[in-house]
Amino acid sequence: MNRIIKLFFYILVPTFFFMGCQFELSGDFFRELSKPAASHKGEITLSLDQDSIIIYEPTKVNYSVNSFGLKCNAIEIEYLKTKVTNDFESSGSFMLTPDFSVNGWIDLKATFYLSSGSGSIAEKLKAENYVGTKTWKVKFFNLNAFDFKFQYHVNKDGILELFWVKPSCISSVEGKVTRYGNEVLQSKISGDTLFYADDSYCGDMQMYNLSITVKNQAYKGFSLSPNYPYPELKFKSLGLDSCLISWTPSPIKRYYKLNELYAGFGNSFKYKCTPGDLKAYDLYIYPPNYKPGQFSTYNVWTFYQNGGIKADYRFTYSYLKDRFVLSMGKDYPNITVSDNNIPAYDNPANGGKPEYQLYGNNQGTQYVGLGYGVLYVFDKDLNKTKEITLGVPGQFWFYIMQLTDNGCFAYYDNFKEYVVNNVGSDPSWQQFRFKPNNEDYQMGFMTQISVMGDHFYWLGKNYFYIYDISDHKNAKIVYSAPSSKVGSILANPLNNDELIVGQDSKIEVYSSPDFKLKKQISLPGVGKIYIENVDTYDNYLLASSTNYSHIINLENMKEVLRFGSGLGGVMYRKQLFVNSYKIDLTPYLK
Amino acid sequence: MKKTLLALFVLMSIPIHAQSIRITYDPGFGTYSMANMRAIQDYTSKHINGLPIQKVVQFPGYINHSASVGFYLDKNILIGINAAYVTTGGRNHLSDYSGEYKMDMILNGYQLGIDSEYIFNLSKKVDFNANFKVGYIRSTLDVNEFLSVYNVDSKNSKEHLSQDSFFLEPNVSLSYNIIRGIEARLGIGYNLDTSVFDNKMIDWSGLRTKIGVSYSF
Repeated sequence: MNRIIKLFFYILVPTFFFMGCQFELSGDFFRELSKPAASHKGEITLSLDQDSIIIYEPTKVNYSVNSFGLKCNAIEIEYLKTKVTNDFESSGSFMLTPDFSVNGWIDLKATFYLSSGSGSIAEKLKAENYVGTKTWKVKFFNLNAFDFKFQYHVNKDGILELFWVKPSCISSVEGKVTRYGNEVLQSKISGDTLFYADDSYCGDMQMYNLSITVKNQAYKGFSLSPNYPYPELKFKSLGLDSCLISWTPSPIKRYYKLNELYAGFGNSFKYKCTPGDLKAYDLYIYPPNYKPGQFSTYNVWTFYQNGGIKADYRFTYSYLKDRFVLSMGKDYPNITVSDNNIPAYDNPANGGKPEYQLYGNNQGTQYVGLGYGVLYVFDKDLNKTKEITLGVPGQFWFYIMQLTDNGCFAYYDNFKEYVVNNVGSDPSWQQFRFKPNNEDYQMGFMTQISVMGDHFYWLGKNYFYIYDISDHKNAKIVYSAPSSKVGSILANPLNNDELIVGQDSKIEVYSSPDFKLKKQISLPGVGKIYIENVDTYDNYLLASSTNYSHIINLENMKEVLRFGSGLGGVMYRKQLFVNSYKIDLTPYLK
Repeated sequence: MKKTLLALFVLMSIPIHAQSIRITYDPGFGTYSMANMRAIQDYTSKHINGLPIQKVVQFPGYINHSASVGFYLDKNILIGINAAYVTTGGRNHLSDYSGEYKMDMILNGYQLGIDSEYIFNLSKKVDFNANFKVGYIRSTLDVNEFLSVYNVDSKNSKEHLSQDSFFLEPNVSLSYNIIRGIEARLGIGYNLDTSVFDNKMIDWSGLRTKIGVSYSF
């Protein structure tokens, strides 16, 4: 039995399988199709319409395939390690994200597959495509790290020029330069650099702003502050009556005007300046395109006096003692002797103690200080010896006060009388008054008393008189002449018998009281001459014409020095005192 | 499977009533339902990149083989074991100038079951047999898919699947006693695969026609 069953399983059943009785498949289906053409037109375009693309921020890029009638199976966009695919669409977009670690140009490659449309297996499986590719060059530009180099310089025309570098690869970058809100217009372009010349800039710290916009949106801002200093006025003495006025040169071109003395683009000029004339110099600064009437940008205001030192003294000089005596507030009510160098002194304008109006005789034996209507008389040792009350201060007016060598202190009082006070030791008289020809009074009239107090000189509107007042009781006219013959007068302090007369372009010395011409000097062309004083130290006469000061040696009537001035003043010991300054003329009078 | 083998073992261990054992070989032609397989074939033919793939072969009826060993419980009742082999297949295909696509699906079924038969003696030479089989089917599916785009690429993938189910198969047949112990047989039956109730993929249900021979001893 078992053998039968085994026979069944081991023989019959395997027989079925080894009979080759498994179902056999047969039959095919072949489809007749025409092969498509070898090529077809197609193109792809990007929204960034450039072959070389520069990206500075993540940028959405649209692409579109023109398949010219065929179906677009796929588009592949590749750059760096990024791959974007789009199946069955002919357009789309992707984000082009910059990688600033990549330098140089990279490829952005687009591959598009256009179905042949044959319907074949290969076509259906997208293995039969017209394949098109296009490659763009792409560069990632790190705009944040870009150095716009906003700077300034002075161009060859002397104009402040601001400039910045525009990243030319990004056309949407724009810049605007302003100064305190006012736009500075672009003046030129050189390569990638944009220039803005500001010809209104003359100096000082000014803030300029550069506003960068990208696609009309504010992006960055920069500022800088050029600071070319305004000029400083400088004066350099070129001698007694001239100086070089200069101001600090600047690389910035400016138009300068200094008072009415100078106008132009230079930085210095030589000026004939009067000794002792403290003058305000005002330098106005304009842009180079100056037009008359234009307001200045800046002005520098400086006082200058050519040479000398401040010597705002009340003083007198006595040649026989060869000493200067001063009245200074710090010593008031005393007066003091100064050494002959006369150190610098500036009388305090306010808050200081009073100072006398001080007069002294040639011998240095007597001094008179006038203060508040009182005469204070000092002896040779500067001790106060007498006080003479003249009147209530403010109610009298003294004109041309003089102290003679014999103790007469004279002045013209309130346009009415000539007064001679005895401040000396003669007990026989105290005061002598008389009325000159008051009808002849005019502004600028002159009076003089001889150094020994015996003659009085009147130069009025119409007349010139010489009075004999030697008895201190009567005033007798001993000489008269039309005033037109006499320009200005000075009783010679070194010669009681001489009257020095300034005429038109000449100086004459007359005897007194007979008024005979003794000597003269002609100074052609200088015009009317005023006699200022005699430097009793060396017998030099100081006179002034319209434009000059003249120093005449009275011994030989030679002009020993002439310099531009005309301001007057007095001279003692070759020191010119004018406008509260002292100028040492010694070097010029050797 | 273990239960089936145990049943056969029990069957073979019972005492034989008479002296007769019959060995039968019944090749024949069967039809196969394969509704789900056809649906799958149809689906795959329509969903390959829009290719117009043709179903060239769709699981047709085909020759099958069956063999039994029966034991006579008496002169009219026979009980035994049966083994059978059924096979069919399907093909999807398309080719053109650019390439070829082909998907072959070969189905094999291996049946093993209990065979019982009642024999009606119509004459001295002719019998009418009422036969009933029940058993287990082990089905296999071999799928071979091939795609080639000429001058580009090709790929070939194979897959083997199997399925288990049961069947019932009633048959009727006429047998003619040619010589002593050898009979010629002609029959028809219907195989009902339980896969149809489980909505399984492979369904062998269908008619079975047979022409066979048996030997009794």
